[in-house]
Amino acid sequence: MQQDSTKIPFWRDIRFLKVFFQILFVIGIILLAGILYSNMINGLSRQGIKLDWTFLNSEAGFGISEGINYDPSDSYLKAFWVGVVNTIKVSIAGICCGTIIGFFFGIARLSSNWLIQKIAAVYVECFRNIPLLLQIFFWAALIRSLPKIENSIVISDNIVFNVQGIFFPSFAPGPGFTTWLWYLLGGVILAIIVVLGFAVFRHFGGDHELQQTDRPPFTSNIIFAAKWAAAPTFIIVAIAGWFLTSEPTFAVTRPVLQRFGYVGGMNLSPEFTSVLIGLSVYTSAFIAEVVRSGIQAVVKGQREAARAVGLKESQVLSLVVIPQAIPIIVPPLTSQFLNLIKNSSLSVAIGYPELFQVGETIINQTGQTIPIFGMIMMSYLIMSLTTSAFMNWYNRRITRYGLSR
Amino acid sequence: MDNLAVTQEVKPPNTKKGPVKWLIDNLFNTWYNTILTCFALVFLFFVFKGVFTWVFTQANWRVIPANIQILMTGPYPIEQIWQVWIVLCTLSVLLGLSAGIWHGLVFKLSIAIASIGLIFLLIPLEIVNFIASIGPTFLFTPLELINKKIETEPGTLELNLNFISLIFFKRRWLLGCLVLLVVTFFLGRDKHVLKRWVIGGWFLSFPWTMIMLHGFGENPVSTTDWGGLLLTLILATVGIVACFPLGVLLALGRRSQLPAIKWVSTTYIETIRGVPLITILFMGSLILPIFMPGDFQLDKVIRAMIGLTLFSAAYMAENVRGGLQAVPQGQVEAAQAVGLTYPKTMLFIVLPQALRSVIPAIVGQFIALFKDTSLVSIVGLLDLFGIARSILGNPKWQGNFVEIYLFVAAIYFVFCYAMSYFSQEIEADLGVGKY
Repeated sequence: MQQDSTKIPFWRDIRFLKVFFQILFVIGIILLAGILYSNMINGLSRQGIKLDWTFLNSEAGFGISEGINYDPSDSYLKAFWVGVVNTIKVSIAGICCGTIIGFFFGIARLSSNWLIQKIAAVYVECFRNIPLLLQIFFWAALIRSLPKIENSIVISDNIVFNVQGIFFPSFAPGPGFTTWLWYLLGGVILAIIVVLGFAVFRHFGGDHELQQTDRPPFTSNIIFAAKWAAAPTFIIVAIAGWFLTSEPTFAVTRPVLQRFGYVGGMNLSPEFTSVLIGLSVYTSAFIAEVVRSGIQAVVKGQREAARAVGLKESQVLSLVVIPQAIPIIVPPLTSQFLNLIKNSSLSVAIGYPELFQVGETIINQTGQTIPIFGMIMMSYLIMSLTTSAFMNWYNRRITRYGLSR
Repeated sequence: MDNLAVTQEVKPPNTKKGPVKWLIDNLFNTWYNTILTCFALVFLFFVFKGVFTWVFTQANWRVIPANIQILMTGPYPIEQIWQVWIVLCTLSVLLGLSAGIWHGLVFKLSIAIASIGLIFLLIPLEIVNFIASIGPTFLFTPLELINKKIETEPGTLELNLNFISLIFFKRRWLLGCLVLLVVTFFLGRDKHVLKRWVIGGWFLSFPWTMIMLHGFGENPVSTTDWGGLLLTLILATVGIVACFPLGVLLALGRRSQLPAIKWVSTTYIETIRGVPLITILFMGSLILPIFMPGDFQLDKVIRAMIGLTLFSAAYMAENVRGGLQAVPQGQVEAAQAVGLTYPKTMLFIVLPQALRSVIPAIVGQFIALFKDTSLVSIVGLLDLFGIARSILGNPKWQGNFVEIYLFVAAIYFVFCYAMSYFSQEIEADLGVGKY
């Protein structure tokens, strides 16, 4: 009897309540999803749109101003893919430029020179407190106010600035390129032979008096040989091949003024350029802060100890401070990269044909809002996950082995 | 006694102070720093020279005073602009009372706001036209010449130097706000009885603002007519206020021991954080109408608010989660030991400690949200940046993009910089990192 009276009633039993609340929660979510789904079906039938994926194979019929090979008669799926590639292109370029500028200003903020320090601080504070969209529009307007084609600014016949964007000379494989490739292949084979021979010689020859256990393992001999014998061999063969090939290995095309503007060379379109400048400048301000706090996070005693054992100032940085700062810097740097990829969607506002802009055009033409938004979100998720997976791998590697290997 | 005589007089080390010493220490301490300093000086010289010649001789600053009204409130009807001023007066009263009661940071904040207001009160905007018509040498032009110019070209020069009319007539609302701020500060000084009323007032000020801006009676101002800085501030405030509780709930959900709640929160947070804000805003404008029952439609501004809130709640949740992880498990166990329930443990023990340690991250999130409000211009709202773009659409001002963008950028900068400054002050006030 006594046991019964102390038994907790089920409505106060925590084990029961836990399960009960979760079931309630799940039922609530399912109900909400159901209501939304029925609303969606109603809404779609109101707009007269059928939900299916077959539209992706029909002809797109709109042009895309830049990107990989594409024709308006290609399918919507192809058009979408062009957008994805354009997004990846601008993101990678932005990440490279942003990281370089960011590291530069981050280190400049720690300079012992007061003036340099302040210039870097003003740069960082200005560009991270102004919305990115405004910055992109500003650069776009600035490029649009560059001189017309006939008054282009030309630097030493090679680089051209005008209202159509920026033109560089481009390199393409020339007639002698295949011959040179054979030389390169020969260089690789020769390098492998040299490495093996060198390593075998070092491993079995040399000091016979050493005990077996004192000998360095075979792999370390290979690494040593690769560093000191293979790389020079390969480089020598490559350079020799370059000069031995009679025809030009690379064809340089320079931008040339023709009737409708400059043709040839590599063209950075005004949209691409303004998005690239905007993204890299904005992100570099954040990266500079990440770098600064990462370097400052290395304990002061480490520097002092390094100086005490007599390292030079450059050695203190490269051997002690930076190897310890990099693992601190990488995680926040990753999130800046992810932000940059997501921010590249802002180029929709100035008409750079990236993923989002192409998706919007497809929506306007077909009305298939939901599938396209699903595809857009999935693409961004995949890009973000890939980037963070790569950076996590890099982070694990450097925390495990250090920078040197 | 003889030993004393041996003692030598040791001179103190050479601790020269002064500008020369400072220069040598900070600019010319090594040979490479000297070179760097020289390069930087040359660079700065050219930058400043370029900027000054542009600002004073080439820029056409008339575009700002000509559009200042539309930049501030957008297409808000001019005859109903008093509703905005009423809201500002209300906020001034609340701010003045809070500054009087709490001193400290609020006092600093109201001093800053009051001095900005005072500058705008005293400087006539027409001075821009005046300087532009005289040229960069206006400071050295003799007064007679200026007077002569005013007489000969009365149409081009509209410098209203009549300060009395300017301050007491044209700017009477601004004057009123400033007076209210000062008066309520002195009224509320150290009146701690009023504390609860003022806090209640701040809570009520939001619905009051909405009602007042919307107007009532004959001709309400629909939200499509809200714009400019007004709309930007409203969007940012709603986003900041609404994303906070949502973010805390999501963070608690993600750390919950109940798998269903944990998984739903985690999925939500990671999905939202994986996609750009612009997708969320476009979904608000393109997909939300499909999910709404029947003919019921939300208006554009509300949809943007929902989008911004849902988006920043996910980021807020991650910030709060960081703080929650920093609270030692012993705190939770101690709270359970004294018999607190889960809500009480969280509200009184865990959250206060968790939030305090992540103030910088949360304020960083607020700053990002404030800057992100500019994206609503892509979905067709006329916020501060949207208005700037629409002004540039006018052929008359098309060439003045640098002036407009600089002005708008300066407004964003001031707000973002102020937020980060005050977050540092709050941190110092709460003694984060001290114990």
